[in-house]
Amino acid sequence: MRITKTNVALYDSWHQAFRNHRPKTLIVWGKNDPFFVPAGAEAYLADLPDARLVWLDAGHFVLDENAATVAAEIKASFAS
Amino acid sequence: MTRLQIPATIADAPEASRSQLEAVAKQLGRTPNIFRAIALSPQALACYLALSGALGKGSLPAATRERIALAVAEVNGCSDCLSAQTYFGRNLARLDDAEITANRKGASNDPKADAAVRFAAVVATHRGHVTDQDFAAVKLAGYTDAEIIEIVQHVALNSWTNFFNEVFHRDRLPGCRSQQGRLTRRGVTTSPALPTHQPSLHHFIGAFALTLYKFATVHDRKVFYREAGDPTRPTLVLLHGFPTSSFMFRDLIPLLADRFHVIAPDYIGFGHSDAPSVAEFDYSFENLTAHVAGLIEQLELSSYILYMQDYGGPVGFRLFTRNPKAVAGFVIQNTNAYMAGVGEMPAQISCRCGRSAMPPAKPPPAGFFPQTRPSTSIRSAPAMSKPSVPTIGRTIRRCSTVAATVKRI
Repeated sequence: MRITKTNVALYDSWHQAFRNHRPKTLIVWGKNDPFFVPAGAEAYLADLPDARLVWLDAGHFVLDENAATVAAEIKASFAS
Repeated sequence: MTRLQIPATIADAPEASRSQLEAVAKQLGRTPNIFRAIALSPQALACYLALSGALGKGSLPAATRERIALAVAEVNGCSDCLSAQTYFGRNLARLDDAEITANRKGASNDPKADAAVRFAAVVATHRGHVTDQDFAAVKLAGYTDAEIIEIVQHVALNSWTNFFNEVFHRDRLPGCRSQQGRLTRRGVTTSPALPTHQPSLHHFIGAFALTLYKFATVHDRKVFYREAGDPTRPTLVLLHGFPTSSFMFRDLIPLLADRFHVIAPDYIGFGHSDAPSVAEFDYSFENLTAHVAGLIEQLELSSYILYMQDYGGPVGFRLFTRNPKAVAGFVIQNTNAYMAGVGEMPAQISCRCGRSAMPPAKPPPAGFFPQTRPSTSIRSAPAMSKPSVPTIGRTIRRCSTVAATVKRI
């Protein structure tokens, strides 16, 4: 937990950087994750309003069942 | 392990090879292992680049050159090279499966190419001892003396590459992993754009569609990473979570490799990377990030998209704030940058790590930890006020059951 606190201390600076640089963003989120809950996905939209948010019926390890869906989303957003 | 001490960077290569490697890097976006391996002999590298470059501008069509490469790799029994050549033939020369099968048998379904491939296969099989009939057949198909000379030289060049792979350990060289069956089943159908220069270098670009397992030395620690895809395409850096490693990307990587250059490192203390003791290494996010940043620098990646899961966020967002202009995009998957995303479960788990001051934990939801519960091993581990490698190791091993990711590469 100690090392996690170092992240929370940086959150504001990350949000500022999100707003300053607005990187193209795709959010793919397993909505059944008890550690990283859905509100955490929606929260990004405050600073990255153009992000695409995709809910998946999955837990923390989304890729175990959804690799093909995630790959297709990544290609749709980023492939040249 | 490789039988060669492959220079990790251009700077590590012999001085006389560096300018040649820089030319390769300029064309491919980086220097694949095989070029750095050959670079141990500046003369061999110069010879190889000159020969392949000149032949690439020769009179034989690119598709026929690929057909010959397949036939020669088959004759020489370089099965790993065949994997790369199959990918290359299919995606760059647009050869279909029936044609590739024919090429491997020393023939072609294209009448003109058939004569060239048959002749090349005979030259390779009989070490140049062709009969008058063999020679007459290739002449009859319309090949000029100059073209026949080039066919023989393609046999020699491809044989040299096959031998190089076989002699100096194939697993570390691009295009030289035995994944042919997988490649065939996957049925790569997309067609990467053909670079317009130096077609002789295409072999090694195409080969990157296979996942390669590599090590780099970063800040004196061994860092394992997976690499796939064409380095001239946009780079995706996949940052894994806890408790896992780049192993979590094993299914995703091949699905992306036809459109992206993919890099997936293991952090220090995870997967196949070095795991020094806590006395030797402070397992802070700053330090985990420093090794990923060092790898990115070593691979000369100037622009990349970050895929971040769990621990990947704290690592990736640190990379981003250090050098925001290098980040071409985010793929965010179950990783937090906001307090709103922190569920109740982290507090419950943390109090099972020996913190007596924490309130009693509620049991995790039924079915959340199938078969084994990571809390069992965590409880027996020392307090996590400072995470220890044994603790992380045990947690990873136990929790990998939760993730159903117990298979190793």
